Amino acid sequence: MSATSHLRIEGLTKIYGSTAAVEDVNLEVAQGEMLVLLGPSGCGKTTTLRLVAGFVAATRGRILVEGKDYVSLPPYQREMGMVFQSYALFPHLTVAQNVTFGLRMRKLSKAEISSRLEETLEMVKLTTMADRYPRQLSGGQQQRVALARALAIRPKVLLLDEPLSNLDANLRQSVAREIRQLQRAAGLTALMVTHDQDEAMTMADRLVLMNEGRVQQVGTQEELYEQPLNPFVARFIGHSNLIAGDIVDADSFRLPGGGVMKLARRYAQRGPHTLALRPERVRLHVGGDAAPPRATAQVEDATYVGGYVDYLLSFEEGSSLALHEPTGATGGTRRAMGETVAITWDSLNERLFDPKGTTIPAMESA
Amino acid sequence: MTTRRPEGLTASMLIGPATMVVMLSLVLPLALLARYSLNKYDRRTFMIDAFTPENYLRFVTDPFYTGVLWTTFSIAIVTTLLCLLLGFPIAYKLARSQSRWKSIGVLLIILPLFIGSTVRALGWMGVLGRGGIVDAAYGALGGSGISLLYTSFAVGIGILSINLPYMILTLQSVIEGIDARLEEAADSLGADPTRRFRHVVLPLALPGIGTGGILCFILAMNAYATPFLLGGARFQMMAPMLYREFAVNNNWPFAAAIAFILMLTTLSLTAVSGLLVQRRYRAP
Repeated sequence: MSATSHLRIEGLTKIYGSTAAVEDVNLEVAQGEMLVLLGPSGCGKTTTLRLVAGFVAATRGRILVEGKDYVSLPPYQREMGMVFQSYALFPHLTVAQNVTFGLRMRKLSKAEISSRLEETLEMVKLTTMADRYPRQLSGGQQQRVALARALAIRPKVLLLDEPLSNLDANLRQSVAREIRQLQRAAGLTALMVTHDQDEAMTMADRLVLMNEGRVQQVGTQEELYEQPLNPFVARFIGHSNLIAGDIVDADSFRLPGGGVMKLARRYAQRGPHTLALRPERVRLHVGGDAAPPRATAQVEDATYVGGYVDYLLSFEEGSSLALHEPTGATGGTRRAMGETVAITWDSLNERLFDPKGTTIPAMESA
Repeated sequence: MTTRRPEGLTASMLIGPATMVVMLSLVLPLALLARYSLNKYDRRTFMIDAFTPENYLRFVTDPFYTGVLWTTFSIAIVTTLLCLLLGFPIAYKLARSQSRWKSIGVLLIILPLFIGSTVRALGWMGVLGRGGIVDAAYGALGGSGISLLYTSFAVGIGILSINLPYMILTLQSVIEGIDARLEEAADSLGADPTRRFRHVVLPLALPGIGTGGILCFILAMNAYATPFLLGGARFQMMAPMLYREFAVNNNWPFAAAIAFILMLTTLSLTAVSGLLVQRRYRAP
């Protein structure tokens, strides 16, 4: 990977006063890959993007494109195409003038500029809008102009800052697909920032989950979802239940109130841990199950939301658990509130984290 | 139950008082002034009813008066351009500042406005006059007897110092309205700071430059205390001359004509520059 990586970020750090907005970020993006930075607001993802664009000066670290360090270059020498959240189209220029802005700054020949303009407008299907002003366009069209403007300069890296957040919900998917197609067609290396998990999942080749200025996990959608490296990842991607308790025995997990859950796998570690379980990977235990239930709980709340019933269960000790039961098998029957139910889950869907937040391995099957 | 008043009536009732005030305090005196400017001056009775353009003719045919108008115009143009050149960087810095010192900066700009132009002109007299700070400093360096007072320089610097805050505040509010992301966009598209300024900031700030320029120009054209105190008898501008004709010479008809010439010159130049800015900025 490292040999073929097109954009490489090493030890990137930005410190404001005494707080680190971005701390020791290391990333590698392959040629043509779309890497999506995801995280809650204030996690440092936007600062990272702005560091790469050059709008923010790095405290430490290197930003390498094709092996060349860009970190100390001003933004206008970085050749990175940026699509802004607000699009930042020049209001006093027409669509054509907006798209050719970067080309004119590069002093390309008239012929080259007009051929690239035509080509780029065709790409984003805005040929008929060339003489309009930005305010005469819809949000989706403005977005495409912003994209065209960034693509026209044939950037080394395409940077996208929350590109879909200003669009109507029903437009987002099609625009997301469009951006992906254009980026793939151009073979562009891209770095995108979003706070929206679905958007990140749809757009990314790989994801980077950030929190408090640090990278929490880098990986594909499957890796982040199936193998979260720490409780934050487990919670942020897919809202895992995080249950605090103690491992008291190889396969026993004791809740603070004293109740004990049977774990699906066996562990060598003992003491306080966090159990992560996904709502859709926990089942209500039924009579036909071979294994005994792992825990019992009371139905606190049950909401029918169509595809599944959204249960909120509570253990006697006050710990609670969200459980999604697909309605396909049950035909939509709901358990009554206050009813005691038995629950179970498969060994693949159980993850335990030690107090430091690192995942602990299970022992070889007993 | 109340009967509903027709909407047009309510509107005219609301607009009415303000219209009356404007009519009484602005249009009426102006009309009166226009009428006076066509009267004749007489040594004993001061003003004789007449209908003659001779006051205007006297002004435009006498090189002294046209000279004063030209001086006034030059000073106004030069100070306005200097305000723009000096004010833009400050306004830009203030507008883009996110520091907690920003409000203090704005306060520092506003502060001089609390002191009347007369008092500030007096201050400049102490700086520029014989025995003033400049003179003393020059003397200490071995020179002798320098007085900058009663020169175009003194009047220019006086007007500049009074008008600069207006320019800065006008520009600042306009620049604040320009999304900083636009500059970043230009930046990422390869525009160095100079071209970013020329292609993005300047065209978008043009309405503010127009407004600030017109404001400073009008203020300079009509400046009274500053040219009166810093220009003295040697350096004449329109407003002090107008006052002298009116109060010292008691020639109301001629003073009225001067007032109209000053007003019309200012208005027409303002209108022309306004149109130029609009055309430059026009977008459908």
